[in-house]
Amino acid sequence: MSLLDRILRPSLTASAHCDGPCGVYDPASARIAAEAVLSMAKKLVDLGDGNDLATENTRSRFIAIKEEQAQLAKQELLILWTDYFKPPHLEANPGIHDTFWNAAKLCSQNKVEVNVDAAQALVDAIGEIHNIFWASKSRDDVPFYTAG
Amino acid sequence: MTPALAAGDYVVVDKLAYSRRLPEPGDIALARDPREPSRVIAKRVAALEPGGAVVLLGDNRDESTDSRTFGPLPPDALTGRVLWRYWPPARFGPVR
Repeated sequence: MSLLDRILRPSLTASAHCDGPCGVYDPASARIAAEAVLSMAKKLVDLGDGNDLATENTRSRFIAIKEEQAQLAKQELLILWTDYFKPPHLEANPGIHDTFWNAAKLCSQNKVEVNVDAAQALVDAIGEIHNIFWASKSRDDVPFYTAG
Repeated sequence: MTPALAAGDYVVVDKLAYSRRLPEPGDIALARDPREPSRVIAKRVAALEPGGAVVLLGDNRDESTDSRTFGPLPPDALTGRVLWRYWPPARFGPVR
């Protein structure tokens, strides 16, 4: 901690917008949700067009999970975009707004459609955000990996 | 509490504000979190109920955990009023 920071730092910390003290951000939560979307899109395609009760039930469950996880991915992205990234990051990465806008739009597209390419594009977009995020923390030791 | 407060802002707080007067809607107040009294939260005063209980709401309504979750607070749970931001310098000024 710098001398300046020691002088300026307040004696009390107040929390203002989430349940835990702020400061813990990681694009991994968005990546996991996006991977679930991709997995569900693939499973829906593989399930085919059958309309017997069991298939309809399975399809409904896949769709519900795809919707839910796409929404979750969007939410996690918005938290990073609006809470973590600050104006100095924007100066270093003028493309941040476009990157997040496109990723959020892909979340929406994946809710509307069953589209493996769009789901893969979402995972890839989050990979790009992963790189920007960790670069902003001067970390080059965090690989982007996928669980699926 | 975005956009009024951002994570990492340093602010000046009047700890005696509410010993002089009642909280007023619009104030940004510090309060002990009723779910975890060791934690201090910053929220905007939305309303005073007839019995004097204070309704606190975060400005960032989608994300905030506030009186919608933990209910109105007794006035003595409020520990100060946020006045000025002194860091970062670019956002120096009164907190509204």
